[in-house]
Amino acid sequence: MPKSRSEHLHGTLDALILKTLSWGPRHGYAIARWLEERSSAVLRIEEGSLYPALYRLEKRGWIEARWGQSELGRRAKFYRNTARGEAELSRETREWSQFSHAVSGILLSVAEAT
Amino acid sequence: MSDHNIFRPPVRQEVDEELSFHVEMRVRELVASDLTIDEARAQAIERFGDIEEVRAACRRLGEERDRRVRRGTWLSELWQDVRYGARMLRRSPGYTAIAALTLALGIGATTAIFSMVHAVLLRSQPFPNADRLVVPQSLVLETGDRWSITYADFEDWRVHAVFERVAVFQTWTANVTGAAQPERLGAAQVSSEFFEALGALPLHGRAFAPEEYEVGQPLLAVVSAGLAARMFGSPQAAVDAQLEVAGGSTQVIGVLPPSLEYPAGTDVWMPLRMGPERLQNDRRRDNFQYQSIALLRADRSLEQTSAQLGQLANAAAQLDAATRRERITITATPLTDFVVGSSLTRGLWLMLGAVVFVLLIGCVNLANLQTSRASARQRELLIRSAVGASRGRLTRQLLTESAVLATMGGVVGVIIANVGVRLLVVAAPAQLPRIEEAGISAGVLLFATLATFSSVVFFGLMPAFLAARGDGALRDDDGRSSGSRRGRRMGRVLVTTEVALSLLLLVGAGLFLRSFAEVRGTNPGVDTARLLTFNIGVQGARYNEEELRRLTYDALLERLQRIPGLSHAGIVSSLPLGGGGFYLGRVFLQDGAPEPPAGPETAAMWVVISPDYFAAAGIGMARGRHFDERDRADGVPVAIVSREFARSMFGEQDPIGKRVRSWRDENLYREIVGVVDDVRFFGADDEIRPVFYVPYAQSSWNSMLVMLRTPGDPAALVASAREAVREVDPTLAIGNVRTGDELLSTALAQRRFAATLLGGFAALALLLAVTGVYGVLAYNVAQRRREIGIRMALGAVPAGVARMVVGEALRVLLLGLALGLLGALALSRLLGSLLFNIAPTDPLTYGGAAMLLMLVALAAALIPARAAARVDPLRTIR
Repeated sequence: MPKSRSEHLHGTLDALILKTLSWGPRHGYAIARWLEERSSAVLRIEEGSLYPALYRLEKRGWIEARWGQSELGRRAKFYRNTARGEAELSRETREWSQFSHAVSGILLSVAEAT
Repeated sequence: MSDHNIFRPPVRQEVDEELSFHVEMRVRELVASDLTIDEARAQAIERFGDIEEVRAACRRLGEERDRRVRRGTWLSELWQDVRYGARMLRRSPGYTAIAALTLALGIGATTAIFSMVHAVLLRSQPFPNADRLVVPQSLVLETGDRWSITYADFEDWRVHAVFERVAVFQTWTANVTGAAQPERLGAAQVSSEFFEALGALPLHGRAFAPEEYEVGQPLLAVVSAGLAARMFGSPQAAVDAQLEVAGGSTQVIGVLPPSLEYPAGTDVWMPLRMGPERLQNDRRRDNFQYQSIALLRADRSLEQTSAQLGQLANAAAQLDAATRRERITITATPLTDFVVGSSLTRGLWLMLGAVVFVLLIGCVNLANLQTSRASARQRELLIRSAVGASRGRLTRQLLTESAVLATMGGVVGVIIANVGVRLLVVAAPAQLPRIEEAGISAGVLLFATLATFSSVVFFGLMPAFLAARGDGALRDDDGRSSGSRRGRRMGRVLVTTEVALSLLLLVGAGLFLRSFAEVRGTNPGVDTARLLTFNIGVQGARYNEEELRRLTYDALLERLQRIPGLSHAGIVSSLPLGGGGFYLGRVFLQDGAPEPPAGPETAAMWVVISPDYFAAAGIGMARGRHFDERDRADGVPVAIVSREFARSMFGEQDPIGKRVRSWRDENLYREIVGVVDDVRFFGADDEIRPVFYVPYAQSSWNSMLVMLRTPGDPAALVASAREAVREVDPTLAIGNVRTGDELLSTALAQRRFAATLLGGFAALALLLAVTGVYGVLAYNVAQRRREIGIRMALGAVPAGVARMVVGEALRVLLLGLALGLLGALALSRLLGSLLFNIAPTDPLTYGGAAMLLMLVALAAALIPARAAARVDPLRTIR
């Protein structure tokens, strides 16, 4: 089972990246910062593991990259979602919501009196 | 997606820059929250994790990404090119149709011929271990003739374990009766290991057990699937059924699968049983009566085996000087080569070579067309290169266009080939083994694809190469740039090539057509018009008596002669023109000659006939008399010889009254009573061989052929001939009924086939070459309209202009013809043995072919020349 778990993690990270980029183009560091803030450091990942995920997504054609100027005037690589990436994000979101709905339905249910 | 590709740094640099940007941003942030720079750096690196691992993973992924992008770009560009090419082709439908048709014809013809070569030569024989099956044969050292082998040699091979398995067999035509009428069928007596060597074991029933090869056992047979189906309905029903073979009641014990019948045409296999008497006779070292088939040992090559066969043959020659075995060695020929034969093999490869030339000429034509178009399209290409298309990209685009064209041609070509193969199978001479299985197989399709793509390279690359050399600047000159001049030079080179190649084919076809005419023109010695032949056998225990055989033949001839509308009836042991029968060669000595002979032997065909045979066959009597009532079994032994026999044994002397014997066989002096005209024995193109005729009254055999001559339609005699045979003996069968015309046509079939094919190819080549010449000249004239107009304005007369165009054609033609003649001379050596009475360098053929090509090409040149003469200077210069 460890494999499927890591796949799940990968998938989750991918979805989070896509979600982050759905607000607009960002460079890698900005993505990392945004994830850190929004997840209140609960989903604290090793920052480095973000990058292979970005390259993988780019290879798949879900995101695309372009070099540009960062806010501090440095050259940085900016990512943005492609149309396929957006489609993938909505699919992931839908699946996640179904999954979490089902799981919380069980975990949060109140035992019925018998 | 690919627009920013060009500005992308290499992956290595990209990853380094991106990761260090991240770390620096983090450090900057930590420093802002009051850490020292060193603490900040340490913490940032720690939070990042294993940077080297990340770096490696990113690089790998980045490279994969770039590869995928490149592939995607390439594919989308290819798709663009294909669509663009298709659009360009649609825009000039005339060009497209001509080009695709040229290619389709070339590829179709080439593929059809290849499928024939594939079916006959390239496929291995259907037997398991076919690559190790060989046919041992006696080779006569002086003449190169190949003979059967002796039983004694076969026994040597078994003793010395030369082969893994080896068997001998004899074939004959047997009267076979199942449920219904008797039939004349191919039969073989085979030694043990015959089926095992071939790997041909019965699908139903079984093969012979070892003890069943012994004398005295009941008669047994393995039969072909065809016979089983015809006579018994199914292979299962045939097993254990009874069959009458040559008058003996025989039990069928097995049925062979259809593809494993050997030798071809055999329907019944029986065990070879050697009694003491037969053994003694057949063991003689000069009694070459057996055919053989052998499986090479896994640990020995063909060469090693042949060497050992040669040593054993040498040893056999030492045993008895009288057998004169020193003249003979033994060789083993691979089964495939044996079945097809060397002249057929060469002929087939020749056909393939010829048709490849046709395809080449077609490609040259297309290269020509493409070059013209490339020049005409120069402006389009220049614009495209000016807006940034690279030279390689343009070349690729032109090549793609050619490939689209070639694919169309290839697809239509395969359809043409499919039809062509069927025509070939129908038209092919019977001598081509397994031709009926020719078709469009995977191997053939692969060949067609290969041919298609080679032609793309040939006709697509040349113009593309040329176009790519055009300068990358837009120039305002309407087609008089260096590019188009180069185009014209290219056109001349191509036309020269084309003329040379066509001449090669014309000469080859000419030589074959003239050979065919020569063969047709030779006198076969037999008058084949209004002749009917069939074979007949008197077999069975009661016909073992020579007397009874003779009486039956007497009765048969007497009855046949009563058929109305018949002028002569004769019987003979073997037909001229390779028409079948029992071919027997014997060696002759004249009275008083030393034994064994000191000089070269006179070998001749031994032919048994009835007195009326010469009249029936239309063979003329040169001297002496026919056989008649005097020549009975108890009369003086007599013979009639052919002119060639008389010449080779007696020279200028009169042979009549001379005594001759076949010293190793009959060994009985026969008096020569007549001399008859020569016949072509083994085929219409056979050399003249000596023949020795003896009357059936003095030497009667079991199997003979009947020859009927009529002033009317020979086919009309068939029914009454059958009736006559049945009246004489209802158990007799007749087989292989043919008219004389069919006999002659079979004898000519191979040459007719070759001449027709080559003639067709040459005609196609001529057509292509002429369109090529016309196309290039017409294009040149169109390109030079302005120049011609200026010349005319300066006083050139129309006739002079026309002369100029024709003169240009003539220069190209003469060069092409000269090259073609040289090429033909060089290649003609390959034809040598396939021609008949025509030298491979026959000047008449060479001259005729060159003249024909020249005349037709000049006629084609006249059209553009007239167009040039009609140029209106006012209209063109303005």
